[in-house]
Amino acid sequence: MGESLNVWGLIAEATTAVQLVMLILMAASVTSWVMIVQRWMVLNAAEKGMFSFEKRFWSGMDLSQLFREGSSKQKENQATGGMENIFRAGFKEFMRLRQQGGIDSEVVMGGAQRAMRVAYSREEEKLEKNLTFLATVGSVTPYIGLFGTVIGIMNSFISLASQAQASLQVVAPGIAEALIATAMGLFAAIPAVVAYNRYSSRVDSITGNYSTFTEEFSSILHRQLYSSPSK
Amino acid sequence: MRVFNGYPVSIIASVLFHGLVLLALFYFQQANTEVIDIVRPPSVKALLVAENPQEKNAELQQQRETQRVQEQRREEQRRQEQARAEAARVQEQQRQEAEQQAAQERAVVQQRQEQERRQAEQQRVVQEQRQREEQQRREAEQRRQQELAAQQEAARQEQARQEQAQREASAAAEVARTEAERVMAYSAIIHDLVQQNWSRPPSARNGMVAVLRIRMMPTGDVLEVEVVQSSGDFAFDRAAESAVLRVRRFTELQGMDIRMFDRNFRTLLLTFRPQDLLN
Repeated sequence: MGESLNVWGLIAEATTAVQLVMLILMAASVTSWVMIVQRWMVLNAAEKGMFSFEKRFWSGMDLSQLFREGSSKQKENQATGGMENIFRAGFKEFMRLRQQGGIDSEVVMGGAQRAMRVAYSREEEKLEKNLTFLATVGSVTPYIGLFGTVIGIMNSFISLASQAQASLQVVAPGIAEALIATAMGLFAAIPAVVAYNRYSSRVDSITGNYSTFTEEFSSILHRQLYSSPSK
Repeated sequence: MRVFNGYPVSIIASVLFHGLVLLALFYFQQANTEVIDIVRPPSVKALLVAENPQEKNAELQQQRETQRVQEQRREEQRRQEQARAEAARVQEQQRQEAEQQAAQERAVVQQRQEQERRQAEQQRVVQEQRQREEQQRREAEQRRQQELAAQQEAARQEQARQEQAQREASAAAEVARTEAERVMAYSAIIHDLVQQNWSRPPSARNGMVAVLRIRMMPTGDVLEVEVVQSSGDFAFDRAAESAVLRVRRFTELQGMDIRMFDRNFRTLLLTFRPQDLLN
């Protein structure tokens, strides 16, 4: 296998340090791909839930009925979308404060908005989870690969120095083996960087929608608070 | 509340993806190695084809031997033919003489004596003639036998000579076998040196053959280089010539047994041919 100079032979004959580097890079690549797929699914689900909830919300449905639907959904152990969670947090706080009575409408409004902000940041955190890992893989794996390459080339030059007759055949396998490390680093980094950029822009657009919805919903609550005859 | 995460699916997907990539790499590698085996760039080597001088000498000797034998045979034939012609001529002369004699006698008898006596005379003459013819024939026979004997003798001699030559040749071959390895080593050295100094011109093509004759001193100095067989490309011939001239002295040949040197390296034929060229 060593004679035919293929990648497997090279990896099998590489020095321990280079093999370790390759192992790390492999693990990083696998993990980053797990993240890529998982984030992709999560973001898709979030977008889908967001659109369907927006549709229902603007269909002129009664808000308390919408809230009850969500509650029954949660009882059935079904996931509720991010936007729905914000709505539920704000609406629950609003109703609770209103039912207590004797509370200033400003305070009711402020409480509802605070609850929605909390829910918003929780949702944002959910969406952005693991994206930093992708960013780290994207920026660090080329360096790890480079490290492996440098070590491999160092080793091959050391072995070259001990040879009486320096020929390309002595150095070539070592350098090829070292370059495999760089290749693996790039192989791990490129998808990670692409996915990170793509996903962070998607997260931005989704959270943008969330905050817009928050504003709209609080304006609805505001209207409801002031249009209804105060007791 | 169950939060959607999809980790199991994504782990499976990721592992599958990497497995596929590795598999693809594996197969491509195999294909690549095969391809590499086929399209491996030929190392451009400038080779001198080994020319074993001893073999050549033996060949030359054999050639000479066969030539000599052929010549001998031809001479033998010529001699035989001459002898045969000689014999025929002698016979003819004798017969003519006899006829003349008979005619003279017949004339004398006619002139002097009667017919009976003449007839008897004639009979006698005829008898005599027959006797003479008989004698001639016997002589011819004898001569032919002699001829045959001589021929056999010659054949025997020739055979003996051939046997001797064979014996000599085999003895020489035995000597050569003890020498052969050394000669091979020396000629390998010469080839290496010349090859190192040979820079092949770009006009060289596959199938070009240039044969050079080198005359050397026992010190290894090159006395003379001569193109015996041109490759048809002047630059190629020149390059081969200058390769030998650049070596100038084969110092390794110094201290060689002088007889061996004379036999094998005094004049040496070197064959230059480019090999492994793509075009």
